[in-house]
Amino acid sequence: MKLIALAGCPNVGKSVIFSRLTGVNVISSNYPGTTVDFTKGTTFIGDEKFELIDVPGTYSLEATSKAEEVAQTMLQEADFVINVIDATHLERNLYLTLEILELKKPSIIALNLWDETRHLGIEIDVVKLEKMLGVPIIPTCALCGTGMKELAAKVSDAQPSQTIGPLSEEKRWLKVGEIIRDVQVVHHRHHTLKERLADITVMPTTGISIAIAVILLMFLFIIEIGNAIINYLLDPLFYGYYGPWIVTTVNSFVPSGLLHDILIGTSTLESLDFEQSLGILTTGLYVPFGMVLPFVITFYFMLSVLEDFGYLPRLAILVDTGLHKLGLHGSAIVPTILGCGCNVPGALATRILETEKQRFIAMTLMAISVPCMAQSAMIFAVLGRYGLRWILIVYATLFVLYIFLGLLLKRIVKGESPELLLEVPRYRKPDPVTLLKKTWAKTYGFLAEAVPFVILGIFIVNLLYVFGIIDILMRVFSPILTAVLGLPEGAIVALILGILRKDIAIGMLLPLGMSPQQLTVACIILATYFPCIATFVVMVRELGVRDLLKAAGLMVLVSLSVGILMRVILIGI
Amino acid sequence: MSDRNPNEEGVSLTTLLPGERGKIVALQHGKGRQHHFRTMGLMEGKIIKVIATQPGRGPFVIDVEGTQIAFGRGMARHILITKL
Repeated sequence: MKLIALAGCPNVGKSVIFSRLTGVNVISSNYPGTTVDFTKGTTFIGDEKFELIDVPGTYSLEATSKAEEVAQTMLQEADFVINVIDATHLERNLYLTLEILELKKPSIIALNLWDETRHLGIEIDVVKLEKMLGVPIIPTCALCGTGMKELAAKVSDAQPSQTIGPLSEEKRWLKVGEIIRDVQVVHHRHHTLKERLADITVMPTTGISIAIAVILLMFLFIIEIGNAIINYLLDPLFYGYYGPWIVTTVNSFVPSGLLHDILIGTSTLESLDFEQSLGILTTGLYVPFGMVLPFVITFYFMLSVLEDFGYLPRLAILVDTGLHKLGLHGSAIVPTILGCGCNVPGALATRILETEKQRFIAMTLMAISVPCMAQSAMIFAVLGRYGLRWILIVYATLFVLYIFLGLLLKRIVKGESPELLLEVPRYRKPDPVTLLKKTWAKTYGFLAEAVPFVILGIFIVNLLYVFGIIDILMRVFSPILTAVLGLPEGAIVALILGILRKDIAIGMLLPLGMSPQQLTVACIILATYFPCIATFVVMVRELGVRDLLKAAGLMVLVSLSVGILMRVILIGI
Repeated sequence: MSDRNPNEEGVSLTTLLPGERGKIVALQHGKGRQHHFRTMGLMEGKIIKVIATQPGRGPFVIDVEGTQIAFGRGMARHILITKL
């Protein structure tokens, strides 16, 4: 299969073109041996199938960063190159274009955001530009789909540029200047209303108010929509149809015994109990699909909206000063928000931070005090029945921990905390198709990670009970759990399962008949003491064993101290 | 680069207030950062406008030919401009 590389600077609409050209079979992965992510898919042009690769967005191919190195290698491996240029920032994009054309690969250029040039007062002589660069140029508007067919039609006939040869860095800049003088006229214009509105979102006073409103609205939306999906769709399905059917079916094959209990636990037709019955086919499916998934989907949808709209860089600017006090910088807000969905992509996203110190702090803080959506959904489900204030206590504790540990880590971790540097993209209307594809890809990632572990967890719990291991564990850990933390002995089950998955672990607290105070303490301990196994694995890979051990030691220490503190405050001695 | 006049005296970008404009006369960063800035559109001769600064020695947000870029105060200090 021939390979087409889609290359361009950041924020030129490359990923929208990519999703327009490919189908649903898009895979995101890691470039071998690096921490650079890229996306790959296939596309049909005529009858021929091509592989399409979304090269990481870079401003040049100079190989000063890993992303640039990867971009360079990918371009060298490609059979064809589509260079996506932002027509509204032609000058800034041409440097990379020249570098790409110098590779002498068959290339074409997508002059994207073409529709926006006119009202920005920019005139580009496309015919002249085509002549100077020596490759076909297709004006496109990825969002509205203009030019996509032409792009696909022309790419397989592309030829290497005849006019652009190898240049030195200085000559390249001169060439950029020369091209701009010849092909582009910019008419003077005033700041538009839209731009003024965009500006107030990065000004301190207005920006921070807007940021708070945006985040509150986002979480309100997630909670409301998530609950609506559960109440009107999933619960009726689980309790009305799936439950009776699965109980009847399993009972007709295995009416009792170990297998019966592993499959559907204590559920009977009279009392369908999805939350506590501990069967693989009852609780094992209900927790990930019936309790967590609705919030995960809405979370990822909202996150994709903010991302595609272009809001996240602005948020990063507003929180930069605060995050510097924690040894991070503004961009760390992106992995942190992602971590609210799932700590695994959150930990991976810390790669946007430049130094090891920042990455260590960001990952450790996340593992300790950023609950993933699965965990949050269960905390809401378990504590919500006793009132909002218990939930607030959990989150306030985690937030204070985040700040406190950050202040501490900034001082004790060696290394650099560099300054923020980012481009602030113009606000753009998100493309619904790209939004849905992104949401689906992330949700699928959650399901692939969660469901097997939840089922495995429930299986293990069943075995622990059957073989009486639970009793031994309860006796061993009872001093620390009961005497020190004020929790029932049975909470050890939750702590063991929490290493596997946090959602099912919190579910394990339900049958213990705890007071809201005890539940609150238990939720805080479960959130802080250790990340789930999937996050743990990613952290080993990203931090190395030594740093991970440091982080893990901190987690245990923090969790125990906070657990004791909260026990004293909430339950008394 | 070609527009640069070596006799032009520059002051640090950090002296600009939000809303003020200046023309870049020199980048005084290390080679790698300079290259990165140039590819982002920040180079000698370009006119920039400060959109916002964040309190507590926070980052600058500037506009250069319709592109907005945010960077920390340390990076801003090493961009020399003449006020317009």
